[in-house]
Amino acid sequence: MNIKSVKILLAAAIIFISSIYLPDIFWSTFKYKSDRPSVSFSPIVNDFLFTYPGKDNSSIRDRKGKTYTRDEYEAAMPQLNFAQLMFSGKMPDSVNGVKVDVPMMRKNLFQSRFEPSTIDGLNYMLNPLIESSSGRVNLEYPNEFFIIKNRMEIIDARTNSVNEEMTKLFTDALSKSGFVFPAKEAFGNPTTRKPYDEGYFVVDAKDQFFHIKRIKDKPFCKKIYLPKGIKVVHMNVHEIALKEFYGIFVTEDNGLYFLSYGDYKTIKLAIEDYNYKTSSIRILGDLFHRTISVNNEDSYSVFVFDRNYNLKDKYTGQLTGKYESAQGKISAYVFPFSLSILSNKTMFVNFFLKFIDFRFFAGNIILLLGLIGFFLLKKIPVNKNLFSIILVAIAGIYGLIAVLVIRDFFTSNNKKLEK
Amino acid sequence: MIKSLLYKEWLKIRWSFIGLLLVNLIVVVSICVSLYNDFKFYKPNQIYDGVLSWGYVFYIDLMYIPLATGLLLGVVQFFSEINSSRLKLTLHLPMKESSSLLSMQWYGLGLLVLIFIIDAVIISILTSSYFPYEVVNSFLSISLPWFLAGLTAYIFISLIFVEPSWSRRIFMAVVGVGFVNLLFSNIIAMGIEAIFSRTDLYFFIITILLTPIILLAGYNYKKGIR
Repeated sequence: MNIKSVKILLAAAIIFISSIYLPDIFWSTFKYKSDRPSVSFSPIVNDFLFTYPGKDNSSIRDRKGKTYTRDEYEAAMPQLNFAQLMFSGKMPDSVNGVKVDVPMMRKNLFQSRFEPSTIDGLNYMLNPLIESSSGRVNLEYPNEFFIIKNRMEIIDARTNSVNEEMTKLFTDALSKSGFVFPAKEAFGNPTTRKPYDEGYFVVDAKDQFFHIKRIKDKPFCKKIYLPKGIKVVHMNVHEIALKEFYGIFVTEDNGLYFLSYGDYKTIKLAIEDYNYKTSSIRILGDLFHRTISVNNEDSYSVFVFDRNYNLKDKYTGQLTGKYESAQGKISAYVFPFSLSILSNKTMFVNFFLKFIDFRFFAGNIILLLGLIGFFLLKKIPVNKNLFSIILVAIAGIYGLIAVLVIRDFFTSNNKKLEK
Repeated sequence: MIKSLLYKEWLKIRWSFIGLLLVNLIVVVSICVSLYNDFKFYKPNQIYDGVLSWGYVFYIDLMYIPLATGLLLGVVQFFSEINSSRLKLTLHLPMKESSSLLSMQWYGLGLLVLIFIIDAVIISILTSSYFPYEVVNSFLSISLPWFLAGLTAYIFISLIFVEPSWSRRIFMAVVGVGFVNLLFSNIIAMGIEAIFSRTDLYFFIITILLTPIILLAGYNYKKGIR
């Protein structure tokens, strides 16, 4: 291997590592805080209320710009702040003519989130097979774990061996309901900290959807009929006292569905601007509404549905993007590109290259002029050091660092400049 | 010639190698014993729950061991070359200086890989006796970047020692810390934060590609560039 190619290798290594760390150091020094508000829908003022987090006080506004104090906000949101309202004795008896009480509001309150990094996240596919009908008041953590490969294998944790009897029982039940092995995904809550157990919702090899649970050591397996062509990407199973739905799932065509309890009906929610690979969803359910916030990099959309899942109102807001802020503009001139191995869109390490635009050329030209000035000052011929020139022209600040480290320039009499 | 060079390397580092191997074995055995105790004192399903749902990384003690091993082997093997300028003699052996430097470095890498394979095999066997295959697989995928970090640290130590210029030494140390730090980004606060499984191969290739940089350091050394 000749020295020249080693130099190229070293330059590449320096550019690689500095394009990861320099932007990282820059952004942690000049931290950027997004102005994304949290949005909720008030059944009293019948409008969205936007809470902008501030350093001292968060400011709360509605769509017309009217501001709210914290007390006013809590009074406008009795379905969320019932505990505080009860405490201060301001709890209303009825909202919009509907009689309300605290247990009712508490029972109807739930939250759900979909993040791209949980959808593309770690999943062992090995889950505890919780007995859903043990006859005990609390659920008990089982010794049996299952994984669905070419059969539904049930592993006993005490011996780390396959329980052949149960495996056969469950595998047969799955085959009988038309399950095609192996499973692609299994969704459930592998914990006993829940009021009851609904088992798991499993996607099979042909993207069919199944509900599987263990009832008195016997398998329960039900095929769920999905609208045609729908592929489930992720499901949040909700085992809550409300018992209105099994859970909420998102699909490959970026749809959001509720799966209703008992009759397995799929209810599609008319949301927009959602992409399961990049956006996150927050669902807030209360006595009156289902509020869905879809958050994208530079925008957010909020959709309010009534309890029959009809769209009642929606709002889309734009945000000042990270790269439109003062520090973002500086970074666009300084860094030709930036590299990261982590992303909030996935749990898997990869090489995420971020390229903003061609503004960096201005920065590169300044650095290049600086380098040429240095060459002229030290009487180093520019035309014999084209490698350095090219590095700085393309990789800007990263290239300059590489050049300064390798600092191996040719002088006029073709001798290496030492020091 | 290479054979005698490698024999010289073996004579130089054999005791350190055995010492490092022992340290690794002690850590691996302590991981085994603590897992054995976990299963003795807790219900197996609790430990399964911890590993599967709560990110209990029972082999966390292994995390920085390959890094320490790589660093120490690099120091032992290359410090004595620089000390009293023995490297000058090595570079004057009747063989290409690039092949002598690379074979020294690859010899050390080979010894490290040997230690790391022993670590991984023992823990895998232990894991597979308590857990299904999926957990063994996740151990291998989580720990692979740590082993690569050991190799990367060794590579940078070797070239930092051969490099004659102090300013470049310091800079290469910074670059080395940067590379090593990347490989530890999968575990944050004892929990699994990211998974390397989609990029294992790329990081392996990057590690291999870092090895020839020692030739530039050797070139600078021989030419006396400072």
